[in-house]
Amino acid sequence: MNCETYENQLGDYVDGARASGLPGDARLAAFERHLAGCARCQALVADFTSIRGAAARLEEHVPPPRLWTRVAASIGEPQQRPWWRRPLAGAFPSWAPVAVAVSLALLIAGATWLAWTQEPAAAPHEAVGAPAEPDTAPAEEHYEAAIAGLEQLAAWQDASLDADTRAVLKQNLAVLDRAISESRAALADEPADALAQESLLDALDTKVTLLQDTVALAADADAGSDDAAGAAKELNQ
Amino acid sequence: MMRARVFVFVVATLAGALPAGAQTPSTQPGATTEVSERFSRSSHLDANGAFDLINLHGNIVITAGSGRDVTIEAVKRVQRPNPNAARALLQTIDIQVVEEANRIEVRTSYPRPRNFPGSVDFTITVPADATVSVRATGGGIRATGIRVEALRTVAGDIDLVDASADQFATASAVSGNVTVRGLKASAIQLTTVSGNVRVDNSRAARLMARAVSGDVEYAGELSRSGRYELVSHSGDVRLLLSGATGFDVQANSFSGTVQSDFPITRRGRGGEGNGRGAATPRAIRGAFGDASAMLVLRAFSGNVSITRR
Repeated sequence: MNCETYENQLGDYVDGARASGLPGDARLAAFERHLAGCARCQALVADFTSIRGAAARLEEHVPPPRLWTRVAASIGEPQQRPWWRRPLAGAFPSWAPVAVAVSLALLIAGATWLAWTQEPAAAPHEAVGAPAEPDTAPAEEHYEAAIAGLEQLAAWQDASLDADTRAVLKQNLAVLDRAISESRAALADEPADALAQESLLDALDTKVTLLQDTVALAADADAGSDDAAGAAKELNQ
Repeated sequence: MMRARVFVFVVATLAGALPAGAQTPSTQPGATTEVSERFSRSSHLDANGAFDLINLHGNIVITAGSGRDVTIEAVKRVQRPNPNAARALLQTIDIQVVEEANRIEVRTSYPRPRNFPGSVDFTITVPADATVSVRATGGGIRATGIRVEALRTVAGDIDLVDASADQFATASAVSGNVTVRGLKASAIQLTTVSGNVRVDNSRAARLMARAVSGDVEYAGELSRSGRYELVSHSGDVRLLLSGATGFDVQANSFSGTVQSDFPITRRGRGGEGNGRGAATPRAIRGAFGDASAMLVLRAFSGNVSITRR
């Protein structure tokens, strides 16, 4: 028999199972005899035992509440909703490729962020002498790409929003830009600071959300205003 | 399968078309005339139905009622120097009501140009079991006793009182305060960019409250096994706790301070040991009591505090 025959028994053996001489353990006993003379399986058992031990020592990571709330939100987006309750989707089908591109960028950014947050992070200001934190640059790049795409969409739709709304959105984008700048400045001083990294990604994430809302608002305004447009243009002098 | 009984009312607001459409002109200081018109409708909504509203500008008040009807009272307003122009513009505001057996959708639409000098204020009553979703551009939203799904506004405050949600409840403003009292939901998400978020006496298994330039405050008991994430960039993050639920906490501020009234059993690189949060001015990681709730509190330049209520 070759090594592949014993895959199941190898796992059981690493988990602590040993042949007892009972009829049900015949395959495990055969594996133990095979193991005694097989360097490959001995190496596998050693590796798996090491991995098992390391896994048992890992600190438990609990997903942040924000992750759960987003998952819950995405679950609650069934197609039977009216179109205007579905952000972006269906509102302007001709832009679907752009929206897909932006979504992909966000997906990658999200995956990058998740991968980053899964790394054991030092508490802020406890990082002196500790291994350097993972770089936020890959996540930043993806966020920036998403922001650039959304800003383009928002610029195309800008005229659809009234001046007051545009001003509020502009002011708040400036607030977010300040937060981004402050976080980047903090990272320049303390590149390994986990809080500065998280603040930067938070601000970028919020900016993406605000730009998405801006585009959706503009689409709403367009959809609701076409009918009476001509008459009002003359009246609103 | 959707029931065949589907009524679509597009309320063309031509002069005299509305039963409650008496126009009321009033002269404002600065020779601006405000013209207003009332709109009224009542519609049946089946049990556990949905009510959705999109409004551009104007305040919205929604209250849960005891009946099965949705009652919509609205006041359209236009302000212009020329009264005739104001009256004419008033007619171009549409309030569209789409009725289905288990869903009512209301939407206001204004014509171009975009700087439309009008608004619509809504006062709405919905059945207590109706799920409510509101999206507004300019104006506040006040909701009481409803089953909420989502409340969103760009510029305005959101007040949500004694509401509930089967699963996920969200309230978000861009420029405005988000205040929630007595909300019960599985998961709650509250966000604002420029404004404060305050949560009072609410219950949720998951809570995320986030502001960029404002404060974030949670006051009340923690749910056992609840997860709470309170984040502000430049505002303060405050937790005012009552009850005896223990918690595991990660509290950090980059340039502010972090302090706790609770004796936190600290962990992390500094090792285990008892100590007050004030001993580590910008970070606390540790547990209090049975550590059954999980807290993530984060401010960049603001302060973080955990105090007894």
